Amino acid sequence: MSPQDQLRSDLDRIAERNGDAMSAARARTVFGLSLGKALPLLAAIPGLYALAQLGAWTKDEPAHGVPILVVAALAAALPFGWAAIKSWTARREGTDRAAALGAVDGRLELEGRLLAADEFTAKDARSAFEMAAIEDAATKSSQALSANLDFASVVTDSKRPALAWGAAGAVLLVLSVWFASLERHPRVDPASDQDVAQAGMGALTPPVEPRPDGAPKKTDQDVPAPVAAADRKVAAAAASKPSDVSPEVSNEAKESSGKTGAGRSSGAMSSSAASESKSSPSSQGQPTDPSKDVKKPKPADKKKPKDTGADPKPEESPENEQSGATAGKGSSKGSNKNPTASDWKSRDQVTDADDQEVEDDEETDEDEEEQENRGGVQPSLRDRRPPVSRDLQIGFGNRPSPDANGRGGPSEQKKSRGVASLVLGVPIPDRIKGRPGPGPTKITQERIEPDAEESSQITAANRKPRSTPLKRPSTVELDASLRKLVQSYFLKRRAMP
Amino acid sequence: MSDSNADKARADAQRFRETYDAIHTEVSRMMVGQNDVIEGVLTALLAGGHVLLEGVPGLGKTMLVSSLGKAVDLSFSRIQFTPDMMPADVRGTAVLVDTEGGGHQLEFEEGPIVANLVLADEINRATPKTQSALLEAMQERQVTVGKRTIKLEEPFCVMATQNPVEQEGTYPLPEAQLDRFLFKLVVGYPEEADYKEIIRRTTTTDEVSLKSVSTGATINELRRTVRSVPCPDHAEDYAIRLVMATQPGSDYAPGIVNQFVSLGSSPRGAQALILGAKVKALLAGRFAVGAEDIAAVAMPVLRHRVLLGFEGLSEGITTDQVVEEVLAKLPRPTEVATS
Repeated sequence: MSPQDQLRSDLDRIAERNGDAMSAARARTVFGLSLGKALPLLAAIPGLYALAQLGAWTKDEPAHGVPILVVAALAAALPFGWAAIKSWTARREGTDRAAALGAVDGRLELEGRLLAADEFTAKDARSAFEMAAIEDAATKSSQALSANLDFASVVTDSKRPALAWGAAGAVLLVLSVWFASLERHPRVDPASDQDVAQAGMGALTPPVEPRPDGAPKKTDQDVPAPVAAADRKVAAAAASKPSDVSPEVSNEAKESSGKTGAGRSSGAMSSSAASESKSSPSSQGQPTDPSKDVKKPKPADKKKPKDTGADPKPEESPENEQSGATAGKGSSKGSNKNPTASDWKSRDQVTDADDQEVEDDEETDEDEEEQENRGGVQPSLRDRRPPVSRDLQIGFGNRPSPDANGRGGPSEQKKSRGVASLVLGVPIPDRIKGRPGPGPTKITQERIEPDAEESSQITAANRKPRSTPLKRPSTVELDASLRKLVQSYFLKRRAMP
Repeated sequence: MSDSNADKARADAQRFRETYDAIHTEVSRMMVGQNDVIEGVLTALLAGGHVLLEGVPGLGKTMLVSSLGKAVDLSFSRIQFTPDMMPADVRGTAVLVDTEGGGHQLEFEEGPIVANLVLADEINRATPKTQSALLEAMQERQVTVGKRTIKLEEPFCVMATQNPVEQEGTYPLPEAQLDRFLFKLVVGYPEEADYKEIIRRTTTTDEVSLKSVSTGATINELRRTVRSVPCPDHAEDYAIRLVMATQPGSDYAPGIVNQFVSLGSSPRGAQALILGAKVKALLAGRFAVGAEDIAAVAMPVLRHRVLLGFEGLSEGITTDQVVEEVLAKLPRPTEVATS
C-alpha cells in the first residue's frame, strides 16, 4: 500500500469515527434545543383543556369527559416526543466527511492539513507542493487517529423553564377540574333574536315536559324572570307584526287563558305590549320594516271605526279594551310624522306617495270631524285649493322655467313624466373654458425715437487683499444627538422619490 | 509524482522562509517596533502586490520602504506627490536633447515610475489625474506614453503612503485605485519600549547601514514559489465566502454589512486573499493554504475594499469593524458545528 493510500484509509477512519461522535453530539444538542422550544406544551395542553371546560360551563353543556390523567400524560409526553423525533432526525442526517475532518483539524490545531490531504489524495495527478502537503499530513494522521476527541454538545439549561411550565400546566389542570365541577344552569340570552323568538313561542306554547309524578304542568308564572322579560319582548314584537299573525296569537292566548286559567297573565302581556307601542312610538318609526307593517293595517284600522262606529264597544275586559285602543292609536301614531322619528327617515317618507295618501286621508278625517263639530256637512275646502300644476314645459335643470305657462297657470317646477322625461331636453353646458374664437389679433406698430437716459458712472475700486488664510472650513464635530438628527434628515431625503 | 518532487517543494519552501527571514531581519535593524507592518510589506512584495501604508507623520513609513529597497537591492525611486504634479512627472515625457552634430532630437525620459520599488509618498495629495497615472503601471506592469509602451521590470512594487488626519487639500483615492493595492497596512504608534531604541539609533553618531541580502531575481523566484502553493477547495470556498460576505445583500453578509456598507470587495479581493494566504502558509511551514491563512490576511486585504455607506459614515463605523464582524460571523471549515 502506497503512503497515499495508507493516508487515505487513515483519513477514512478518522472521518468515520469523528463523524459519528459529531452526529451524536449534534443529536444531543438538538434534543436539548427542541425540548426547550417544546416546553410550553406542558402548559398549552392543560390550558386548552381548561378553556374547553370553561367553554362548556359558559354554554351550560356537560363537562368534557376526557380524563385529566390523560391530559396530564399527553402534556408531559408531547415535548419529549417532539424533542426525541428531532434528535433522531439530526442523528440520521450524519456528518459530512469534510466537516468531520475539518473539526479534527480545528481541534488538533492542524491548520487544515487533513482537509487538504484528503482533497489531494483523491486527485490522479499531483503537484510537488501537493505531494509535500500529503506527506506533511501523513505525519499528523497518527496524532488524529490516536486522539480521542470529545465533541461536547451544547448544553441548554431547561430545568428551570421545565419547572415553570410544568407548574403552569398543573395550575391549569386544577383550574380545568374546578371548571368541570361547576354547576350548570340553563340560560337564555335575551338579546338574541332567535332565542327571543324561541322563548316567545315557548311562552305561548309551553313545552310538554314529562312529569313522572303526575304533577300539573308548569305555568308561565313558573318561568324564571329572564324568560318572562323575553316573553314581554316577544309579545311586543308580535303586536307589531301584521294582522295575519296577531289574530292567531290572540286566539291562542285566549285559548290558553281559558285552559290554564292564566288569562290574566296573557292579557297582561298583550296589555303591556300595547302600552309599550303607545309609550314609545318612535321605536315604530325607526326601523324600515315595521313602518311598512304599520302602513298595511292602517286602512283597516281606519275603516274599522267607520264601519263599527255606531256599534257599541265590544264587551271586553278593561285590559283588552285598553290594549285594543292603544294598539290602534299606537299604530296610527307610529307613522313617520312623529316628531321623535329620525330626520332622514321622516324626510324620506314624506316624499313617499303612499304616505302622501295617508296624510290626505288624515286631513280628510280631520275636516270631517270639524264639519261634524260645526253641525253639518260643508262644501269641501279641498275643492278650493289651487289646481294641480299642469305645466308641461321642461325646465332648465332644476330651475323653474321663466316662461312656464301651463294650463294650470304658473306654478312650481313639476317633475317631468312620460315621454318628456325621456327626451334629452336638458342643455349640456359647454365644458370648454376660455373664450372660443377670440378673433384676429391687431398689432399696431409705431415709430418712436429712443430717449436717452442718464446714468451715473461707477469707478472701479482697488481689490483688498484677503484678510483670512485660504483653507477649507474645518470639520465641525457634532455631538451624538445632532449627528443623529442630521443623519435622519438626510436618510429621509434620500428615501424620498 | 515521486518523492523527489516533494523534496523540491520542501526545498523551495525552506528557501522562501530563509530569504524572508533575512530580509525581515535586515529591515528590522532600521525599523523599530513595526513588526506587523514589516511582515505585511514583505508579504505583499513576495505575493506580487502593492501596498498602501496609512499612518500619521513620523512613524517611519518612508524609511521602511527605503530600507526594504536597500535590503533587497532593488532600484528604488521616490515620488513626492503634490497637487501640482502632472502625469508626465510620474510616467516620463519626451525631452529635447542635443545631438552630436549640433542638432536636437526628442528623447523619452523615463519617469520615476520605472523602477523596482516605487515609493509614492503622500499619494492622496496629487490630483486624480496624476493618481490615475499609476493605474496602468500597477495592474499591467507597463507604462504607455503616447505611442510608446514601456514594460516595467519585475519585481515591480508600488508602496504608497497617505496621512489619515490632514485631509484638507487632499484627493481621496478612487475605488479603482484602492482596489489595485494588495494590502492596506495601518502604521500605528510604537510601544513604549521601542521608543528608546528609536531614539538611540537616530540621535547618536551610530549610523545603521543596511546591506543587501537578496536580489530582484530572488524575489521573482520566491514569487513563483508562492504561486505554486496549492489552495484546497475548502480554503477557496472560505475566501470566496469572505469576499461575498462584504457585499451587501449577499447570502453571507452579516447585518453590519447590509446596514452600513454600500460597496463590497471585488473579485480582486479574493485573488489577494489567496495570494496573501499562500505566503502565510509557506511561512507557517505548510504546503497548502488553510482557512487560518486566509483569515490572517483578511484585514489588510479587505479593509480598503469595503466602501461604507452614508449611514455607516454617520454612525462612525470603520471598515476594520466591518471586516472583524465578517470574520466573526462567517464560520471556518475547521470549526465544529454541533448545532
